[in-house]
Amino acid sequence: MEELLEIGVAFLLVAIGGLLAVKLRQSVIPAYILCGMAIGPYGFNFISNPGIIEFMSKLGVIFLLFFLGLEFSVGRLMRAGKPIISSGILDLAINLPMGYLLGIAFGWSQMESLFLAGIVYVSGSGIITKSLTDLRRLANPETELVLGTMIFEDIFIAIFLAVLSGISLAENASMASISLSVIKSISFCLVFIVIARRYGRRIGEIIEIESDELFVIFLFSMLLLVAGVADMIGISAAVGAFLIGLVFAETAHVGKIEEKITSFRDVFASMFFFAFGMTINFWAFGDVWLALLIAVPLSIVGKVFSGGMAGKINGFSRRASLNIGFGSVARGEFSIIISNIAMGAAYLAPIGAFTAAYVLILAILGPILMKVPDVIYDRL
Amino acid sequence: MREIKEADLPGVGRKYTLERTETGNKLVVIVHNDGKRELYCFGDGNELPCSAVIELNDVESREIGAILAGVYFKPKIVKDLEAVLSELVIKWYKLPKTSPVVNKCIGEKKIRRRTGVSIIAIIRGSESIPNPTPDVYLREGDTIVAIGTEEKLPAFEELIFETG
Repeated sequence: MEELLEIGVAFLLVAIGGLLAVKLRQSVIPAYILCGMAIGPYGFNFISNPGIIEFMSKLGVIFLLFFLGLEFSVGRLMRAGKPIISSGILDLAINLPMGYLLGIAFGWSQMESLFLAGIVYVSGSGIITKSLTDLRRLANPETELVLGTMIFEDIFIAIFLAVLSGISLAENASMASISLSVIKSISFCLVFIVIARRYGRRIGEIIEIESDELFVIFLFSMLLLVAGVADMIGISAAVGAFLIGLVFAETAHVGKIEEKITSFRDVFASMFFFAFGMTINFWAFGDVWLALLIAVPLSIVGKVFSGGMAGKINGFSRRASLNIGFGSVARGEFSIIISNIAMGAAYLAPIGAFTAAYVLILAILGPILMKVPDVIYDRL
Repeated sequence: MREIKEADLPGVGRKYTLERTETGNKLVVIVHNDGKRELYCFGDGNELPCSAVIELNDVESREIGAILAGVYFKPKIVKDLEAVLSELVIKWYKLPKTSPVVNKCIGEKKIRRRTGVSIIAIIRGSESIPNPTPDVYLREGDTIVAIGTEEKLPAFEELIFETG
């Protein structure tokens, strides 16, 4: 009984925190994390049975990645064309190595630095899309480039996660073991990509289930089965969920799936961010504040530079280029997911606390910085 | 022919841009995945930021769309409802007391054979008789729904409205 009560309180807190964030026109993600920190073991230590919350948090990651897979389409990226490819490559070439070098400079291990590279590189697409809508920038010509670049990032991150979980879950640190593990996860991905391409339509016909109830239950079963198999053979469940999303993306049911699953995603994702917050020790911020002081400004500069350059080489006006740069600063859910996988692989050290604070700061600063070009140009 | 450019906005919806070169401004329509539409208007030289934004829900968009397309027309008084199906016309007639077909059954007057027009339904007060058989009697005040070609209908009208 106690468990139910605790989970009820957790959800209530998350709901109130989220409402407050929305009132303050902020992303809900930092609010969820803060709630987790507040009543987690390092805060008021209210949750005595974290088991169920951790399980829901797992489901949260699975749903988040499943949606990423659903919306993912190589064809769409190709159609978007050269500007997005060039912008994506520029973004990758600047921000990913920067993250890695930061990790090395902080004296973190090679693996931890690799994870940091991903955390620093990937933008918070949810936060950015919402801010672009609020700022009435959706119709601007440069917005296509901003959103397209984030699709590029998502694709890269999916591959990156598969490889990274391959490396981190290798049995030992020998080169042979690592490469075997990486090959295993890449071939697992390839199998699914082939299935998606070849049999997508056929699978669509199979899941042509009239009853909405059974449709959702069947979907759940597929999702959990593939995530479970991925987990079992040493590729993270998140990657498995992404891959099954890819398969369903090729069926005719994408719209229906999104409609039926969105609320599940929202509920479990909130528990994911909450559970992530629970693992964060306030006092650990003392160990990472210096790293944050260096990483946050550099992360902002990195995105403003790569985005601004991308705008410039694609012939956008100076103001539009600045919009691209300042528009890509926010970090969000995917940085947290990468950090979560890192922690799962027992690369603890400071990554959790660092990422929590890092996302907290950049999820709030990101939308504010998006207005910088307006301020510059309206004053002139 | 002016071209409307289409583009994907991943995670948001689709974007349609109409560039109007002669006036130097631009109209953008964003169709969100959740059905919401936004209209953005850019002033001279596509200057940022846009000068006006209008937000519409699904129903509003459809109504405004119909008005813009010039098809939105709601007649105030429905006198003669007419629906034209290529060559065929469907018409509604209210039978006056003086009509020679009142109190006769449809078959008796051989309406279809004589005029080439068929009665496809009869509306009598709150009830309606779809696809009436020849033995159905017509009554004063009935509204009859008839279908026929444009040329044949006048003969039908003459038959049902002739006096004496």
